[in-house]
Amino acid sequence: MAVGAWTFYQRFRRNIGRGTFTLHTGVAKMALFTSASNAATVTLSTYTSLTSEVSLANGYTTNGGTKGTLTQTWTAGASAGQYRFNYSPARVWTATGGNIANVKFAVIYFSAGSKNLICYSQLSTAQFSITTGNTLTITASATGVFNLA
Amino acid sequence: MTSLWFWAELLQAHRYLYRRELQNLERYWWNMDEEQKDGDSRKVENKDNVVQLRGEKPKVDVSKNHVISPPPANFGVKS
Repeated sequence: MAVGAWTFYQRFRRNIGRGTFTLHTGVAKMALFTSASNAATVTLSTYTSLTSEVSLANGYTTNGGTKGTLTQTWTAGASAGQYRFNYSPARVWTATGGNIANVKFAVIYFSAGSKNLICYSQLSTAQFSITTGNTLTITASATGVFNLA
Repeated sequence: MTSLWFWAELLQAHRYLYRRELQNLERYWWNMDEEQKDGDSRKVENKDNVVQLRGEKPKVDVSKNHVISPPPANFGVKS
């Protein structure tokens, strides 16, 4: 179950320069996608262009729902000269009344306006399911989601 | 008269046997431990093959929980 690093969508860098969103205060969300999804296509720009999100059922809500809403921070990283995009607490989905099936990708995006994409992670080499009563927890690493050094 | 006496005795014997059987059952019940009282009949398996007792929350197999922490993205370019 090899997990891939967060990978930027190309438009994200462009949108930073254009001031399309604010890393500090924008409402960022995390959503889950299946192996059939195009989530790993870095040329995509908005959430609406993504395909094959995990089905709305058993504890998962389309768009990631409230469980996918990040409380993000944009604060000094390893040193005062670095800035880090991070989130806490971890996002947790609990399968209730059935399995949350076919999870492979997690995508972080801004939920307001055009729903611009930030980055994705391939959570596993193959899609997996969260069985009833069990959880999927996606935590930020000790060094956050990304750092501007 | 003899017949009446016979039926009265028979009824008495039945009542005695019934009461004794009831006492035996009661004694047997109190001597059993809790697990025996629960019996296998209360144990059920849900569709994920997790054993639980009726009326209780399923015992979650924590090994099926997923905790994932993707490494950070590479933001900068080293020149």
